[in-house]
Amino acid sequence: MRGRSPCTAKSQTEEALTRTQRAGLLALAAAVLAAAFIVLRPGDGDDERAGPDNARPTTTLSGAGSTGTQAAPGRPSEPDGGPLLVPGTVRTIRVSKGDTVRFRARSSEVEELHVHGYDILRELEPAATTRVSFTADIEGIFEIELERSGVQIGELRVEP
Amino acid sequence: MRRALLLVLGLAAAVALAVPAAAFAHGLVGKQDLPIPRWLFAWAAAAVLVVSFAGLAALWPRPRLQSVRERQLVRLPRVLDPLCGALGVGVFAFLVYAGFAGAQSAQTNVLPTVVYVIFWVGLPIASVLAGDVFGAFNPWRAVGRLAGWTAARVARGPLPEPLGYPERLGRWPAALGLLAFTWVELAYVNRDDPSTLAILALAYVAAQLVGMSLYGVPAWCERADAFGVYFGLFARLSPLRWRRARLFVRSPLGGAPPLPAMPGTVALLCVMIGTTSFDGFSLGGQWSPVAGRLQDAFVGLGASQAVALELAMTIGLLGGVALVAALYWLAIEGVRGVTGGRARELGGAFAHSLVPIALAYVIAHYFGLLSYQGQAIAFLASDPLGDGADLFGTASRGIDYGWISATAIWYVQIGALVAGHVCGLILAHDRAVARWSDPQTALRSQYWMLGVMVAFTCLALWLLSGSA
Repeated sequence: MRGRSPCTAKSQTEEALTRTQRAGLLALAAAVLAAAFIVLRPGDGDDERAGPDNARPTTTLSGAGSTGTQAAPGRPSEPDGGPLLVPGTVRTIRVSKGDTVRFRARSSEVEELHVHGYDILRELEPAATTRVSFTADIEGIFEIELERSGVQIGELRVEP
Repeated sequence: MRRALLLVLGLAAAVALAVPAAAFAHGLVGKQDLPIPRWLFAWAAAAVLVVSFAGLAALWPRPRLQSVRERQLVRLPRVLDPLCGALGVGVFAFLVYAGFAGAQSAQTNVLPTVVYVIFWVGLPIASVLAGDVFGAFNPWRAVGRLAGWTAARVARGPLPEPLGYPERLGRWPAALGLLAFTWVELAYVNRDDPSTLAILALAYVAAQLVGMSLYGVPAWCERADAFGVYFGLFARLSPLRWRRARLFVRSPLGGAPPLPAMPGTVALLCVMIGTTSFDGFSLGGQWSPVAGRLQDAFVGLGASQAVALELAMTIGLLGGVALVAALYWLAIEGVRGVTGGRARELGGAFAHSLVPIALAYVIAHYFGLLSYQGQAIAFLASDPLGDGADLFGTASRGIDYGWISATAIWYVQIGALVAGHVCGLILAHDRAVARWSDPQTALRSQYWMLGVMVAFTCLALWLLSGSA
């Protein structure tokens, strides 16, 4: 505070002014913060799953396995094995952490299916349907890819 | 604050209309981060506004960072300098060799992970924590200095003086070099190909050696070496500074205000922020339709699919940089309306306040990449060529994707952005009270800087929320 001792009358007025301003700004800040807390708390009906994800031909499937056979609106309900992934489209499979991911995959050629991140590999025989299921224990967005041709056939989204 | 709000809204609109890019993920990545949920995005944006207001109210009325005292911490043996340089050259030579001789796959060759993860993301963070570590190991600088030293010995007399570095060139070569690197990273189809990366690395070194031989090693490396300048900027935020085998401590951020103003500095920072923004934007939903349309248009003009995609990505990349530059110069025009003066000079005077924001962008966008793909260095170091070697017994390790939760990553991202925002605010405020003795002028000029910083931070949050 020693630095303030040589204050002139003029700068004292300035400091008084800025103190009022400061108080006002801090009050405003507190009000904004309080409003933010009230308005933006989670669970206020924000639906993260709405809206298109991707321009690629994508189908969104909510849940799989343990979350029930709940299919996206307008689609016939999926059989027990979950959605069918084939080359040509990229389907998004959404699950919550801890759920079981179930899907089926098919390819017209001999292929190797790769779920990135989980590093699950399955051999695909031509025209045969292969079932895949595992527990979603890593959060994130993962590619499901046909390894030999490098074609992405699905996207796995595991949310917390 | 209405101006700031307008800026934010204008920015959001601009981005929504802005040039888009094609959806792709780095070939390296097995996992992408989940977008920040909407409620957290909104909460973080509100926190940014609150922090900004509180900052305006609480920041100091007299400059504190304009002349920062340094204290010497330790003195190291001088032989360390050439040793570090030699190590840098050795590692660089080995990496280039691995790029040519190793398996030509991004996953099994060590080079792509070192370039895009360790070098591009790891070194900025290391620079902030430990000072300019890259400067000590910089391989091309070491070669340049060795060449100068050898030439002086052989000539047995004074070498001809290097040319004077042209004032007007400033940091423009570094800005262009960085733009070229980010183009390779984000737009180039062969970005992950190890031998292509090795060739590009050699070409970069050749260009640096030409520059150093023309203008001298120190003048060139401080201004024109894209990576030296890039890491050096981040190191200015660090409390540690290395100089001639001595280590100094200073207050954090204290290295940023003395950043010498020169042409191209704002361009460099706009490249840093704009290209990272575009990388984030290209992963969101809005870019892929636009990229698809651009790609089709270029195919219609006779380009191949790959070239068309590269052109579309190039447009997006340049659009990102242009958007960031436009925002910054808009704020500078606003400041000029309050204080008068020349725009170019004002722009240079506040450029250093963008450095922490650029760092926050790097951390927020690439923390996930570093925390997962960074682990790959354990097995890649043991088997750098991808030929089955196991030098350190770690070749069979994998990447543990479960060690950090998606929620923790979100908080790291938001924490980095808010901290970067506050640091930028502090630097701009300190410069303003140093420049304008009238506190009212300083305060009013800062509304504009605050506006642009809120815009940058909200842009980053919006990008991380999957362009929600």
